[in-house]
Amino acid sequence: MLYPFIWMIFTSFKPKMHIYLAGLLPRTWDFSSYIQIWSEIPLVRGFLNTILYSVPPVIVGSFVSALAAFAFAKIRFAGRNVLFLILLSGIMIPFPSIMIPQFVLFSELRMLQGPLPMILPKLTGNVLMIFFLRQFMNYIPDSIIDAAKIDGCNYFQIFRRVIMHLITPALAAHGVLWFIGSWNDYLAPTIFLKNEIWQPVTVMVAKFNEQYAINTHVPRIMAGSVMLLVPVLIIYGIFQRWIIESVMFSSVKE
Amino acid sequence: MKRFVSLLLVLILAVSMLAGCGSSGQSGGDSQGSGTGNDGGSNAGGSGDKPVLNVSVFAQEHEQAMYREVIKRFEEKFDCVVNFQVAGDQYWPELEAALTANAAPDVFYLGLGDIKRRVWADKIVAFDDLLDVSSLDRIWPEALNLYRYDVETNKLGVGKIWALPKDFSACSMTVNRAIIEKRRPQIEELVKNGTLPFFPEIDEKGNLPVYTFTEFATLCKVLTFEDPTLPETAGSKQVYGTHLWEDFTLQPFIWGAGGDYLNEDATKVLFDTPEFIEGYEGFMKIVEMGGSGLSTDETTGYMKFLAGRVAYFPCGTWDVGAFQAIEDDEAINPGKSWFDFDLAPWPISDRYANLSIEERQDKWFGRVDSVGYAVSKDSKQQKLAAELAYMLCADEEVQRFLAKRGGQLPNIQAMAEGEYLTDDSYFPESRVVFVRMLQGKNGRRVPTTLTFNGLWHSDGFISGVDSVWSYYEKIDKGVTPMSVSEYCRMVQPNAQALLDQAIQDENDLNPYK
Amino acid sequence: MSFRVSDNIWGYAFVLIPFIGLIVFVLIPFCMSVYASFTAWPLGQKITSAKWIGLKNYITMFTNPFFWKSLGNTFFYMIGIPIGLVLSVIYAALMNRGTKYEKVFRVLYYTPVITSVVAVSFIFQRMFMSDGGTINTFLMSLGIKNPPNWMSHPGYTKWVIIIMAVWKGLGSSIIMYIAGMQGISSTYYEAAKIDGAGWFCTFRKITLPLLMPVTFYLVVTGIIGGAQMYVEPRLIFTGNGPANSTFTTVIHLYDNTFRNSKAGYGSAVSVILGIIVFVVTALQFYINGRGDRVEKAKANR
Repeated sequence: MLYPFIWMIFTSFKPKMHIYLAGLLPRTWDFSSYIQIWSEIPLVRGFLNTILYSVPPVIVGSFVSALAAFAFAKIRFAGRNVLFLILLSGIMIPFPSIMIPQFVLFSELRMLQGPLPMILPKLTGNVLMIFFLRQFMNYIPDSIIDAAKIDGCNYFQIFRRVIMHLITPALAAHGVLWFIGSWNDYLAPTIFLKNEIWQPVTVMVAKFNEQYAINTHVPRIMAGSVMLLVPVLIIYGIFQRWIIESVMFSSVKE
Repeated sequence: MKRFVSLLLVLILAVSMLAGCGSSGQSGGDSQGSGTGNDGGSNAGGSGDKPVLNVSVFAQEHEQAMYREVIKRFEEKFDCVVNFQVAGDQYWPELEAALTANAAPDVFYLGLGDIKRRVWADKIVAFDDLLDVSSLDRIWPEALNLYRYDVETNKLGVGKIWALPKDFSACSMTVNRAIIEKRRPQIEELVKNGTLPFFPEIDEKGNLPVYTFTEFATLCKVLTFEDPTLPETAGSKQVYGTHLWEDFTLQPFIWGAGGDYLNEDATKVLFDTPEFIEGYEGFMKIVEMGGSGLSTDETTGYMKFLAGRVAYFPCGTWDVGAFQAIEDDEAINPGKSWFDFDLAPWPISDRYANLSIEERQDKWFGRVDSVGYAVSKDSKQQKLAAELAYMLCADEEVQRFLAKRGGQLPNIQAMAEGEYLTDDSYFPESRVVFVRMLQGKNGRRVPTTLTFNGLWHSDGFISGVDSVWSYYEKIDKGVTPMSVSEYCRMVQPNAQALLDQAIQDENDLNPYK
Repeated sequence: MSFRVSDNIWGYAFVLIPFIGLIVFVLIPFCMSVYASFTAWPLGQKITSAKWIGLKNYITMFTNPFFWKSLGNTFFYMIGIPIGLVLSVIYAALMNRGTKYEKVFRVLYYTPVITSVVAVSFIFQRMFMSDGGTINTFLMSLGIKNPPNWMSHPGYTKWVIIIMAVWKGLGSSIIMYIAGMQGISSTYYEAAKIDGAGWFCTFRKITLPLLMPVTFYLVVTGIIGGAQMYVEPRLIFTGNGPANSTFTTVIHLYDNTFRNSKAGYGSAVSVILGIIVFVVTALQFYINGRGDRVEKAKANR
């Protein structure tokens, strides 16, 4: 079950061409991959970039998503079910088909040399999160909201004072999942971030994946992947309880 | 807990703000896209007075270091700034996207099959207009011809030069001498009883050991055995004579039989010609008798070869560096006990069985390929970009360094024919094989680079070859087994239709008709 | 009355930003793609400069055997979804019993999910190699004389991908199911015990139905993700796979767009794929909604 993962760790300690030899354990323990990664590519910068793309946009985007989910779940406005389905269609479109037009778009907006292509779209929210939060909020009794309305709150105040407290675990949990997704994102940054200075770690590690396969420095890719994993695992371990709690709520049927 | 988390979040936000602020100072005029046209295309007013060139390529590790050094020199000489961007394996899609958006770098790679497209879309500039063409004389004329295209007559190979070669690569066979040595008695037996005309090595007069299909098949059969001396690292004791797959390695066999994939002006597919069928049958015979069978898969072939379990394997000039690294690695390959690679020529048709070794020298062929540096039409510094391309392509120091590391042959013909052959710090031993190919004696251009797209080859031929393997290996692969001639005749009409369609698509695109 | 009008305004206001994002970053590019699908756009130049050819791309696509084969492969891969779900439920049940080391296991099982797919593809490629690969060596040690040739026999190649995809996705479905299980109120279980139900019966009649929302979410996202599968078959197999057995519709799209200079055709494929996925998903929502409505009707009687 975990065998492939073990394989990955051992491979990261092998010298470059030894990967073609059979045998799990390295013949020669070569730590150079780990060291070289730090010197070959500006890894620190890469990690900072990765954090930049995974934290602030996710936080803002989560807030935006929560607002929208609240609207879909609790506010009765015309056409909300249809609009929700349209929103959902957003994730059904395969990325390759919008990849190039998106690139043209960013290019026209002159954003390719900077970090914006990876930040702006996230600021507008995450459809999966809206989906889940909406389901979650469906189980919040309408009575609480009606009570707040009677007290004279408008929807925004209701959101801020009432809803936010109730959904904190779910919000945080999905925020963490989205964070993990952004952390590992590779295809989009590769295409949209042209300036090396702004590239996240995933792209930098992927650079080791060469045009001519034989030159691919596999141990380095493994080493890079291992290093990429560790922070995420730690965060996942910490937030595990919240993640479980949030899903928990939405499964309970009255 | 909550306090801790909010503190952590604030910290992270702060750090990322710093990341955001810190760099906009560093990257000069290229950050945050503030609307001064800084994206991709060169910018005259970018970061001060110096002109800026954007270069985008892909390169191997050791090449990158060399290029950066050369570029530093270039920057000093011409007083400019060069953004040298190296891409990973997404290079081509990224480039297409950049070209679509008019955001191409000043210098980028041009593949052989893309020449016409780029010229018609007005994306590249001919070097004839930018440089003193006579200075290009030092470069292999064959290589330069690959990039010639005459717009008026719509012919490739003549006309203006649209890119300068980054490398001029050839693909020959490589032979693992260690395996040959292990089977020396058996091979010498074959020579003695006349099955093989000569031992597989270069003879005193410098003639290459060129075999016919049947001779080669017999040799490979002898080279297929169980080798108890293989180390544990090989994963298995089974050694094979060769490992081949159509997509990449069938061309030499067709050419060796005197045939080709396309006719002279690339309008007809020649799959059902007798020469093609003969070549393919030779290919399958070799695979049947001494191939590693059971696999048309490239990757596992590589793994087996690099574990020392395949004797003959295709080898491009770009592979040499990596192969040499294994050969020299004393830790796993002490005394070159199971891996000692050298180059070998491709086999030829059985019709030539009566030819002497000298007469055979001109009958074998392998593919030559190249990728070149092109200058973008949208570049604001075209002449400068051309200078840079020239330096990367033809600077002596660069070429010497790259050749010594085994990545490619020198682009400068004199150097390749002279120093490269005589100086022993270059490897491998039989590199004259490559040189002959580049001189045009034994090298031919890849067929799919002559057509608008490769569908006639990929969909029209390669996609169904499992039928042939299923027939020859007599194992059930869930496809209809077919002999070579059946298969070739069957795919010919469809392949021709695909080629016709490609030609039509190309004509529709040509604005110069 | 006034409440309802302002309700509308509030509603629209809150969903405005995500919609702007959707329109700018998804719908507009998609519309460009749709436009391109009616042209002979060869890439490398502006879409607007491409020649209009009407439905030709669509006709080529529907008569192209490779398109249909890729569609078949893509949907075949979705067998992995139910396999994964069954395994996840079982694992989740095992990891939910309150023993001490469960937390560690959960994190361990989540690791494949966040591992880079490039690394995983390479590893699996090596593991499934015919001679010398881990899997076959293991099978042979069990006494199986001729283990299948995973990498080159068309009947087996798809399973390499399926196994890898299931392995990689297990962690997140397990967590979802565990959470779902923890949310089931214990009163149900107590009632079942009183009625004398055995472990398996309880599992079947109580746990599984109550996990339906989780299952629904996983199936919907599984289909959406599965339809877009590109990286795994691309990295493990070369080209279209032996006898065209492994390539997916997105690979077909990608190759035609970038290798064959037929970006118009590629756009057409992506449009059709998007429509298929949309229809399937909408159907699922409808069926799921119907189930709820039936239950509500039953409860209201």
